[in-house]
Amino acid sequence: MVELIQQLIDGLGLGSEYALLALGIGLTFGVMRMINFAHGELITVSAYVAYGLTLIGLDWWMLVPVIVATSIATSVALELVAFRWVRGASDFAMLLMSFGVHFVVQAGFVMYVSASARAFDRPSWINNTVSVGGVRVEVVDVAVIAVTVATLLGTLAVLRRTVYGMAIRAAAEDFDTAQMLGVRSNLVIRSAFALAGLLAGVAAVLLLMRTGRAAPSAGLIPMLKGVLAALIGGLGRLQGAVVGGLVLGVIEVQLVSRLPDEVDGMVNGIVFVLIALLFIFRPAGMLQTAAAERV
Amino acid sequence: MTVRLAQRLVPDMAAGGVLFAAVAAVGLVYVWGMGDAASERLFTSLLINATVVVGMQIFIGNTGILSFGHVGFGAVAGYAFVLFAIDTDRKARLVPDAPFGLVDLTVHPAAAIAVAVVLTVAVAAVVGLGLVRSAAASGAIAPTVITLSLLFATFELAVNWTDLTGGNRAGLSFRPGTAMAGRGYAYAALVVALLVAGIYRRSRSARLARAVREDGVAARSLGIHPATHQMWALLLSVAVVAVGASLRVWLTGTISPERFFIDYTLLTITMLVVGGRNSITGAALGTVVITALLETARVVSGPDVDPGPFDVILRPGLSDLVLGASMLGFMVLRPRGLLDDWELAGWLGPRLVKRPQPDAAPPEATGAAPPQPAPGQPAPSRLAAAGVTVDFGGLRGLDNAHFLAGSGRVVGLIGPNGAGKTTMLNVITGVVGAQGQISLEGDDIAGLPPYRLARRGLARTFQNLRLFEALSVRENVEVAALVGTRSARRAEQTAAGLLGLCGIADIADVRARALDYGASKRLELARAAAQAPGFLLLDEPTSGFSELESVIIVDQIRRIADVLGCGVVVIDHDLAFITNLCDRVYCLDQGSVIAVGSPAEIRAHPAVRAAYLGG
Repeated sequence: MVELIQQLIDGLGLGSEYALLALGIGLTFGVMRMINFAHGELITVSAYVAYGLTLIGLDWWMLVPVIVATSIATSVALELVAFRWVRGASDFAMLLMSFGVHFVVQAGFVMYVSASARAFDRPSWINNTVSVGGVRVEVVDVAVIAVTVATLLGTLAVLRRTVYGMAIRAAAEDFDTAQMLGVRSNLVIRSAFALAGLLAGVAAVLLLMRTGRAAPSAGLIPMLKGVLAALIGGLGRLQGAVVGGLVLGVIEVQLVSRLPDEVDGMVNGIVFVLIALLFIFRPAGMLQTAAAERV
Repeated sequence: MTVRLAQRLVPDMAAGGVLFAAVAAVGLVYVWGMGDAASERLFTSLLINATVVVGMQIFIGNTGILSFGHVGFGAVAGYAFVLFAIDTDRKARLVPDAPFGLVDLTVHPAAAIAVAVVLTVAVAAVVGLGLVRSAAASGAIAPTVITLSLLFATFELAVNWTDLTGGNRAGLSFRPGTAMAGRGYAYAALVVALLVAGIYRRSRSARLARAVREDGVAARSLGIHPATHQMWALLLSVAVVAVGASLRVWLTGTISPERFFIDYTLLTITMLVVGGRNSITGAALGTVVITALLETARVVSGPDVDPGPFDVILRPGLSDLVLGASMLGFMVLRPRGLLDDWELAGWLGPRLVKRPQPDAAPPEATGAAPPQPAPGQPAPSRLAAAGVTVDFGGLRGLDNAHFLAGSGRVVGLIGPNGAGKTTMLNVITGVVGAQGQISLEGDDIAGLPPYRLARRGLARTFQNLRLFEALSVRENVEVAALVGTRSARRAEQTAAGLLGLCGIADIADVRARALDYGASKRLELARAAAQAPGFLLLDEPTSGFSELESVIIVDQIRRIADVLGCGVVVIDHDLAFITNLCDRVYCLDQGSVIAVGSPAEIRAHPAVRAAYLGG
């Protein structure tokens, strides 16, 4: 029982990172109908900025706002220089556009920083644990869950209560109509990218605290997990993305603890295969919410 | 029959040959000019990459589904190949604990390629099931993500299953010095890949797959089952990629997980989209162009060249930048690639084979066959709906509505906007689920998927046009005819007859996306008629038409109904138009049938007058 609670907390901790990424991917998908394969680059860029700042001796608490701001700025910048050129293009063109952006950013780091990973200091309290009723809890897990819950609630409040949020939700439902009703598309799209950047920035902070590592491909696997979480939850459903992320995290932690040690390195692979198989039986995602096309 | 088949294949054979010769000539001139072993290796890898990219084109081009997973299938093939092909001594040294008794088993590399193809196709069959099912449920995006995660899955498997693969560091390799032994196979593989892709492209299955690529909803309403044809494309495509991947391992002598991962995916996908993903010729061209570009990048960023002021750009990592940037550039400026869907075979065809163009005049004049219902399946003669209720969230789209149509008659559905006319059509054709009974010839057909209903004789048009935009007018109609017949010739004759009947024979070779509104509507009518339906369901066939155009299309609808002997159901909100055309009219208002009768009765009906005039 204690072990199960332990695993559940671990799973939710991991899953909340995925949820943050998945929600960002879902938001930009909502306004552009584009799966952003370059979403992980927000983490990569943040990681290098964190690496640079720890080099000059900045404290971790100072890093947090800088990382989040970097991620927001990068997200909006990528929209400005790249994604806006394929607005309304075919799925195919948009998928490849974001895939290409991923490679260009990655090549940039390989060419001008280093092809190998750079390590930097993690916060000193990262391995501290507290014991609650026999359950040993890592401080970082609690922090992650708390921060994620706060961020998600904040995001939902923004989406529900503010004009921007309503515009984004309206656009996610039906972009053309929203536009005709006077929602300014540039503003909506950029707000969505900024919000996605914010969420990815929070995820980056949580991730980098644990790994303390910057590499050109640092964002690749987190991006893929985020996209899969969004897909599991049903594309275009924002709550679905959050649920998908949490489910993915819990499943992953369960797999790690249950599978024999020899296959430890294969957990990602096994998760990917399981998801591929899931789509044989639930082709529209776990929640089966793919919207019917109007004819 | 055989002669005709041979004639049809001549352009593909010739195009395959010419393409191969062109690629080989470019490579051989380069090798001859450079005269070193490195250039020969480059040329060989060009041949292999072209094989892989042409293989990928079979799936990506014909289905329109972007796949990042083909290189993952390549990894499966590569390992399968190497595990069967390297000699037992070497295997005992590299992977002494290999399972399945593989250590003591070795076959000739050519046989190992065959084994690799079979194994990889089997894997693709399982994986493909999820792929095509998710494509059917949510479009082309979900399968793309699935293929990407499969690429990662095969990579992790290869890295971690060290007993089988030798892991990430050592990998598996042939004895040194044997690397280029199978060079002849690389030439042969490319020739075969080009021919297979060309012949498949012309096949019925590929044409139906391309219809799905252009518009899944419309394709289903023609009776096409998308998953079937996407699956065939996938299996064929994976088989060709498996051959290419095996050769890549054989001719470089080594395999490691990194060799079939994201870098190779980026390379091959870029080659395909730069050349033009919808074209086999484009796939070959893209391979040559990107290879030349990368080789240039490699040479200028290499140690032999003094970079001078260009040092900022000429450094390791440049090749990924070149590939990524080419991809971005093409997606922005020319998203369909250099060649779009231009095919050498299509260009050579009329120049090599003289065959009489299918005549484009009306069937009465030429004797071209009118479309016939599929043999063994008599045309249904009675379409009925009763007690049909549809809820959209809180809104009631249809409320206990009923409806009856018989063959040889024209039934009209009228009513103001929002009355539920299109919903009724969507319910009958299986696009929208509903409560109630719907029957065709007495058989319950409620809940059947659209493609089945289409095959049972229901054809429809759409209020907002759904044409196969990249296909020509003729191809649009031929595809519909192909669903009911396996004979391409019969489909051609059917199409020719209907193009004449609908007055669009003179624009038969124009792409559907270039048509004006009127011609588009005519084409949709011709396409629906080509299904040889028992019932033709037309959603506002005259909307947006002038009075004169309406008169013409009404005449065409009548003539089609005569030729086919089918029943017609027409939706419109124009009372005058519909009473001219119909034998019997149903008037819907707010989801309910408020009046049924002859046109004259309907015009006089007080409830109808109230609904239309608000009086």
